[in-house]
Formats: sequence, structure tokens, C-alpha cells
Amino acid sequence: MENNTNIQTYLQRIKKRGFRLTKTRTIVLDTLLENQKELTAGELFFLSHKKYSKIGMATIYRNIKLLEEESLIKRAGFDEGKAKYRIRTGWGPTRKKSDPEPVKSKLVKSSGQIKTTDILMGNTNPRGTGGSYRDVERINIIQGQLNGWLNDLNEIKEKKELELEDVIKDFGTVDKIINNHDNQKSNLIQMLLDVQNEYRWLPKHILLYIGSKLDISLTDIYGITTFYKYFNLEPIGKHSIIVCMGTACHVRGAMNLLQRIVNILGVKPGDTTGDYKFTLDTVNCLGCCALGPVMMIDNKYFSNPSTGKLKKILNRF
Amino acid sequence: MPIKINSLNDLKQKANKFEKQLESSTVISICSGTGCKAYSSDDVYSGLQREIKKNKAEGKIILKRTGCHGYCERGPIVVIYPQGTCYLGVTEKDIPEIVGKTIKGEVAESLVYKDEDGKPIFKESDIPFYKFQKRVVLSNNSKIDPKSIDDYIRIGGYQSLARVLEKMEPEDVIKTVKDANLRGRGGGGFPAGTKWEITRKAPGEPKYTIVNSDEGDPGAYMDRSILEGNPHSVLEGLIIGAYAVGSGKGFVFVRHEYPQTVENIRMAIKRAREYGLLGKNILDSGFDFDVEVHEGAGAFVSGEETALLRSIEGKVGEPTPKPPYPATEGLYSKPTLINNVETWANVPFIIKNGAEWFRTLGTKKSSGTKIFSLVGKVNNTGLVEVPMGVTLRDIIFKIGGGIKNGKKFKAVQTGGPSGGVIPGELLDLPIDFDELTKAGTMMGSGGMVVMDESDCMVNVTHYFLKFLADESCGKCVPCREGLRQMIYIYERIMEGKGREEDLKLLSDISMLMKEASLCALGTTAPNIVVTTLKYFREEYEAHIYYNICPAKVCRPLISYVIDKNKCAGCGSCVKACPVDAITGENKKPHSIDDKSCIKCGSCMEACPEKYSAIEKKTGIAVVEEKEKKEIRSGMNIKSQ
Repeated sequence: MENNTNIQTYLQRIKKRGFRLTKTRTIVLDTLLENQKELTAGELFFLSHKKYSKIGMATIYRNIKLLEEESLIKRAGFDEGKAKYRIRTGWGPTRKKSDPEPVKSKLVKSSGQIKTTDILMGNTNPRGTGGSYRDVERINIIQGQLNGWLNDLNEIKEKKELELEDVIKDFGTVDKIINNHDNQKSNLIQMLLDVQNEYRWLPKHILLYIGSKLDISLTDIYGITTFYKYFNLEPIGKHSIIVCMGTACHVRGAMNLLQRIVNILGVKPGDTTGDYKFTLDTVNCLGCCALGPVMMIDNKYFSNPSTGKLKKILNRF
Repeated sequence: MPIKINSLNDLKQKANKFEKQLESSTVISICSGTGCKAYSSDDVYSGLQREIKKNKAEGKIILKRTGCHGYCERGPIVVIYPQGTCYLGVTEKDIPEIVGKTIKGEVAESLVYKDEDGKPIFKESDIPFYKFQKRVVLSNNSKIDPKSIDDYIRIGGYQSLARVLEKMEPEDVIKTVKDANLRGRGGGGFPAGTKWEITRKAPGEPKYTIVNSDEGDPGAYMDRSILEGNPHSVLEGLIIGAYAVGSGKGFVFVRHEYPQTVENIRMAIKRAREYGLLGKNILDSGFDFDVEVHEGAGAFVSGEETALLRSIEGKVGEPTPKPPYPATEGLYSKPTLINNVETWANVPFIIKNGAEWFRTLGTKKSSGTKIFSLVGKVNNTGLVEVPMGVTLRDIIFKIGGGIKNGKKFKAVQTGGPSGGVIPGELLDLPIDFDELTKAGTMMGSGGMVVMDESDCMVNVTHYFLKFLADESCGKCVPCREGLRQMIYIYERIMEGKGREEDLKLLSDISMLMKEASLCALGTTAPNIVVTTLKYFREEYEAHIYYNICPAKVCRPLISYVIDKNKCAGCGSCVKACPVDAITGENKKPHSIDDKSCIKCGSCMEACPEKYSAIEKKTGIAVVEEKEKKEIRSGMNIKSQ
């Protein structure tokens, strides 16, 4: 693939652009450098994750996008519909006029592999440490972006994201769903309904995946998932408790029933109990008006249970 | 492997064959609509299966699950054919008696309907709830298994379609529907024949036909019962309509919240395809048409026709301006015919019996029957199908059996959140598209919520406004902001902080929303405000000027009080209170601390009936000295 000189040039350019190499980005680039062939996002994730377990799929996608924008990696062909990436070797015009000096060969390790961190540790930048004022500005901007992304990543972790093996399995399931709906963009809502039926909520990495497969932006997907009430963007409890607030149930005392349930569970409608056992929700009509006020747990209906009865029912689950 | 059906004769022969198969047996049918399922009708079904096997009666008795019978108050419902004997409120312990008596050809008298004198009424059609109805669209629900296409064919299903494809031109079909004066049953009431004609004449290919089953009105479930209990009737109507306008592709848009309905319509489509009634070359006529099911995802506004089209296109389900109307520019900007489930279900009957027959039912301007979901404070909750022109009084009192628990009728709310209320003095209004609109409300899709003296009109209006504000797409200012501001005003009124100018402000906002909203959600939202203000103004005034809620509903204006003379100090209420607001010594009268009380009513429920010591009062805790104004109707405004 690349010869040593090109790799050095490449890494020089990274530093010259003021592009800050964080741990995650370093690992992503390392993985690409090590493997002689092009990698898909999934493969990249798998290999990077082995080195540093705090990398999630979302991070990979973000970094791929960023590195592509910075012209550090490029898309090279497809593998069954999945884009493949590799380090970019051909260069367009750079910002700086002088060509960077080649790095001394003594940095090449005995195994023939080159680590980006090695180059950075050694003072190989002919212009010395620091950089021009524009570089500093760029660094700050990127640092700010990075902090934002790190926060996102932590948030996702805290919301009980799935383990690595499950993530890889997920994509198989999602592929099936997308195929069932003829790979059509217009069937997005139907696909999301199937995903939610499968997982009980819409994990972010699956949304990103669907977006990348169907060429729909994440904004558009979020536009749909936040407009339609059925979709859950957060993990929910094992059992769903739904209280009907339709007109017929309302006049028969649905508010009192809801109050009794809230008193026992200690959560408001829309929230999940701390042990992730129950999620409480309201809907605007279940269609069983003769039983009003109606409460539904999973798919069992209960007609106007009293507080005592409620406690018994909830203990059953 | 099912063989394709190729002609009207094929259908007639099959129908005869299936009918003969039933001739020598007795059929026990059990209602499996969602409502009865919630009453565990599935367990009753399994129990019946086991009992029949135990008695080795499989040869003599056929057990069948049918669609919704409509008398949901008394479910699960079991009907024995051919006698038509109807058993109500069947539970698992009744199973041995039912099976035993049916084998012997006798009747289980304890399960049959009893009128006020205790006289038993055996046949389903004689029960008062059904006797005063004219069941056309729902007539077959109780006779067929919705999951079986053979059962639908047995009662003559798909013969209207065969007749249309063999003997009629598309223009003839449109003329028939126009002559019948079938008006859209989804709420708009637009003449279906005219819509079909416009779609047919509109330039553009391909044309689409859509079934709108996104029934979002809370308290209305007519469409669910039709689509769940007799999906083939809707399919048949749809294919006839598609032929009339020249469409090759159709969609059924059904709510995700109706899982049984989704299952049944998907199965119906599958079976229809197997018999060659959907797909290429239907019934060997050269006409191609196929259908796809799309599920909604929980947005009320997506039932609006343009929003529904955007939903099918995979976009956010927000309404778009009309014109252009879907008939000329609909799905993917092509001519699209979109009608409600009930409208489609009427079509096979119109073809079978003729336009003239359809016009004999109903009124001059509104032909045919309409299904209403009669719910709320009535004795007989359920689905009611009557010819247009029947009065509200007849529906509520004759069919509905009057108000529950002997209370007094106050108002009936029609048309779902887009409709208004009708007070007692207008109960003799005939129901059709135009009369109700004149009174300020609308028939809408058929929801009918009955309210009694314990319902507060201010509270009910607030409930509907909250629903609409929640479901509003937010695109246009009049609807988005108008609803929000009206809700603030209502919340102030319900807290006892209403102001004199509030009522005028509500009227002004209502007028603005009616004129300037983008879609029907916004333009019809003020109906409930305007009608309650018109017919129940004194209730608003009591809230504002005297801080009294006459119906004792609005929590900030009521207090729960323990009558010291009646209280025996048993302590049941103390246990029930979630906020520990009740104190008292054992066997001595207790008292409720008004400040901590959250007005949930648990104490009143817990108090044993023999004491009945807790009652709701209004006006005690918060009446201030205000400048007294004259109220329209002389209402007793002292603390009640």
C-alpha cells in the first residue's frame, strides 16, 4: 500500500494542519494504517474497539466523517453496499507552501509498523512545537467539538447501550428489516416501527446505521421519531403500563386511576421506574370504552382497579 | 393450495358450498373484537373448545370467532346459530352450561338478556339495544370469522365486485355511487361519487386509492370494528373504487395502536391475493390492483388526509394546504382517492342493492346509515348503527338505555375533539351531516360521548383543548398559539382565578382560529369552546365569579369533607389517603386537612357504604366577596 515516506508525509500533514490527534482518532488511524486493505465502518469499529473499549459505533461514524472532511481518509469502493475507507495518499494543494521534510528513518520500529504517537513524541515538526495563530484557533474549535462529542458518548453509555457483540448482531437484524421494506426511503416509518417492536426502543447506533444505509440524514430521522408519539428514543422498562385517557374513560374517572398508579409507582407518565421494570404512559384511546377507565399492562387489560388491586397486579409482574 | 376464483358464478357456487357445510351443524359464535378480548373472550373461546371436545361434539357443533357485535357493555357475547340465541356477559364458568344446553337444543336461560320486568329475550335482534338499530355495515360482523375469507364468501362476499368487473363500466360505478348520495363517513361528509369522478378525470398516472383507518378520535372505535370484524368488506369496496377511478395501487393506513385490526387486514389481503381477488387480472377481468398496509405511529393529526399522504411518503405527518386536493394532487403528487373505512364498507351494499335502496335509508340530503360509538355515562355502551335522521334522544335513551346510575342527562359531545356539545333542549335534533353543523357541532366520524350532571363543562373543554394542543403539528400560528393561550385561560378559570374578560377573549380567539388555521384540526378546535360557552355559560360564570364548580370536578374549587354525624371513625379513609391528610382518633369522627388534600377521591371510595360519611363540596374553601353579577339562568349559587 503506502511506502514509508508517504506515511511520514501523511502524519506530518496531520500535525501541520493543526489537527488535534486524540486517543480515539489515533487508534482509528492506527487501525487503518496497520491493515493493508480497506475497511468498512463496522470492521473499523470491531478492530478499534479491541484496542480501546471506550470506542462506540457512534464515535467511529463521527470520526470517519471528520477524517473524510479533513481529507485524511477516503472512501474506496463498496462491500455489499457498505462503504470502505482507507488512508488517503494522494494530496491536493496544501495550505503551507513548503513541503514537509521527510522524517528520519530511525523512527521505524523493528516490526515495520509506525505508530503515530511515536512521531508526535519525537520532535519531527521542522517548524518546531506550537504553530501559527490559525493553528491554535483551529485546535480550539476542534477541541470544543470533541468535548461535545465526548459528552454525547458518555450520555449514550449512561443510557445502557448494548455490548459489542449485540451491536454487531443488531446490524444483521436491521438489515433484514430494511430488506423487508424493499430498501425504500418512503418506508422509513414502517422500518422504525419494526425496530421498535424488536428492541422496545430506538437505539442511536441503529438510527445512524439506517440513515447511512438509506442515505437519510440523522436530522430527518429525528424529525420523524420526535413527531410520532409511538417512538421511544430512550430505553424503557420491561413492562409498559398504559392508561387510557380517552374521552369516555376521562368521564369515568381516568384521572383518578392515573393518580392511584402514580402514587404506587412513584413515576410520572412518560417516565420509567428506577429498576427499569415499568414504564408508565398514557394514550388517547384504547378502543374499549365500555371498560372505562382502562389500564393496559403489556397486552392485558384491567378495568378500573382499586389501589389494593393495583398493588396485587403489579406484584404479579 | 387455494384455487383462483375467476367469475361471479365461481363465487356463487362457493357460497352455496360453504352454506351447505354449515347446514347440519349448530354454530356457537363468540365475539373476538378488541373490546371483548379485554373481557377475556379468548379464554372463553379456549374453554369452549375444550368443553366441546370433552363432550365429543365436534361433528355437531362448529365453534367460530366473530368480529365485534357492538354491544360492548355486555361482552363477551356468544350467539348460537341458526336460532340466533344470544348470551351476554359470558365467563368461563358458564361454558359447561352453554355447551350442554346447545347439544340438547335447549337454551341457557340465566345468560339471556332480561328486560325491566325480568322477561327473557332470546334473539339478539330482539334485544332493545339492537331492535332500534338498522344494521347494514355492521350486520355481518356477528356472522363471520374475520380471519376467514371463505366465511365472507359464504354470505355473498365479493359478488358485488364480480358484478362490477363483469357487467359495469367505471363510469357506471361512479354514477351509481353518485346517485346513492354516499357522503364521506370520516367527518367531512363530502359526496363520495363526486370525489371519485374528480379523481378519475384528473390527469396523471399512476392513481392511488387509500383507506383512511387512522381513527384518532378518542372514544370512537367504529372504524376499528369494521376493519377488524369484516376486513373483506372494506377491501371489496376499495377494489370497486379503484376500478372506478382507474387506480392500480392502494394503501390501507391503519393505526399501530390497533394490533388485532392490523393482523386481520394483513391476513385478509393475503387470502384475497391467493384467490385472485387482488393482484394481477382480478377475477379474470384484466384489471390489476394490489394493496399495501401502512401503520400509523401515534399522531392524531396524521388522520387528516394530506397529513396521511405525507406519512405514507415517509415524511413527517403534517397537513399541507388545500387546494390542491388529493383527488388532483395527492400521494407523490398523483391523483389520489382517499376515503374513510366506513365509506368503503358501504360500497358493496350499494352495488348489491342499488342506489335507490340506499336513498330509502336516511334523510334527503344524507342517505344511508351511520355508525356511532355511544360511550360515556350511558347504560348500554357500544356501537350503534342507525339510519341518518334518527334523533339523539332515541339513540341515547332508547338504544343507550338512558343515563347510568339514574343520574340526569347534561350534554352529549359529538364528533370527537372537533365537535361540540349538545344540551338537553336540543335532544330532538335529527342526526345527519347538516343538522348538527347548524347547531354548532358536527357529526364528525361518529363519536358520541354522553355526560351527566357530574361532568364539568369547563373541565371537559379543557381536556379536549389539551388533547388538541398535544396533537397539533405546530405549523400554523392560529392553531399552535391559539390553543395554548386558551388552555392558559382555562387553567386559570379552573383554579378560581378567572377574570371577567376571559369569556370575551375565548370567543375572540375562537373566531380567529376558525378563520385562519391551516387545516381542520385548527378550524374545528374552537367548536367545543363556542358550544359550551353558548349552552353552559352559567357554569363558566360560576367558576369565574363565585369560584364554584357546580359539577364538583375542578380540584382547586372542591373540598372533601367528612360529615361528623355520619363518621364512625373506622379509619378506612386514613389507610386509603396517599398523602396522609386525614387525622382522627379511633372510633371518633375524623377530619381532612384541606391544605394537604390532593382531591384524589380515594377516601370517598374507601368509606364503607353504610356510613357514606365523605362528600364533595364546592365553594366552601375559596369563596371570596366579589361584586355579584347577574347570572343568566337562576342557579342556586350558595355553597352546595
